[in-house]
Amino acid sequence: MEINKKDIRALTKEQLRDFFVKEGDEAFRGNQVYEWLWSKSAHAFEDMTNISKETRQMLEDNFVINHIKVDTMQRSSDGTVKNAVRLHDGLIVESVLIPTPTRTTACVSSQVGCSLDCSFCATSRLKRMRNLNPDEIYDQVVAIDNESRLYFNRPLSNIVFMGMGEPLMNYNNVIKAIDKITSP
Amino acid sequence: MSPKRIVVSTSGVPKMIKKMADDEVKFNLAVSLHSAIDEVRTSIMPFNETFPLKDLQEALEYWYEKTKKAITYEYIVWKGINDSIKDIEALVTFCKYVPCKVNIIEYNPIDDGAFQQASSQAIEDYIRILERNNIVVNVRRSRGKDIDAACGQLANKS
Repeated sequence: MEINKKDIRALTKEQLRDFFVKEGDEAFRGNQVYEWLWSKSAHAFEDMTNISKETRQMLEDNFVINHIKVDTMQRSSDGTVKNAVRLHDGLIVESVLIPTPTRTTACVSSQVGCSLDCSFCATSRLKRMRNLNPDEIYDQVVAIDNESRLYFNRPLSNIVFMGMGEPLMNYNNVIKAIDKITSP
Repeated sequence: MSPKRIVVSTSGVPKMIKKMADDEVKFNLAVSLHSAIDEVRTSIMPFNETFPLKDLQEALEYWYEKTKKAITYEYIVWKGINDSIKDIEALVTFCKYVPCKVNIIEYNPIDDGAFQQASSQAIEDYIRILERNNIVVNVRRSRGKDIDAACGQLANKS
């Protein structure tokens, strides 16, 4: 029954805690799973090694983790990196890592395509398909942070919402993603 | 990461800019302005017809009032579109409404070539006149142009 599985990262920490209480478990299990999802970027329930096998199976039966996948990565002669990112439904967005001597900046997308029609911008030639979810925005940042550490030996220093899409037309999800990115 | 290191760049949706101000967000705001003359802006950014510069100005004043954060204007100069002295003067006037700085972005051509980067003379005019009016201006060189990764080039071609 794949279709009935919910995206677990659409839940807040409170909702996850409530879920475990309802399942007859402890509320703090919700915190543990939340940490796996958001601090440790777990791609699968089986990665959650401090959670019992039974619980992991139960999560597997109820939820999916819709993690993005970097489909192709291109590197420019000036060091810039571009990721084509595949979403769980097969749609693609792009994000860019821009290195300078003093900073590395992630340029991330907020929509698949764009709501607007600025005639000078290539993204406007694509139809707007849908808004990105908060986790899909967050994942782009994590992917670029990993590339920054790998290629430039330093973490990401800045983020600009200047990729595909108009961020204010997907305001709530952009705000949720920024909350995750900036939470300690 | 500190929200001070995050920039949300919008083409300028007035009511959402006001909402962000009400929500007391801590990140920075950039606006893709590209022209401070309604007819010109509408010709390249058609939604400007619905949200004219007057509404944008009012929303930005509200933003500054609430957040005390300066705004960055993103601005591309194209040949024959916004490269006249009149365009520069309109930008100078717009920049007086709220504390701001201007990023002049090098244009990255996309397919049909209807838009062309303005002459270096036109760019220099922009810089000179903005600076003379005490407006901070930076010129942003393109990055990642060879892999279609630069500003305005993202279109799922790889």
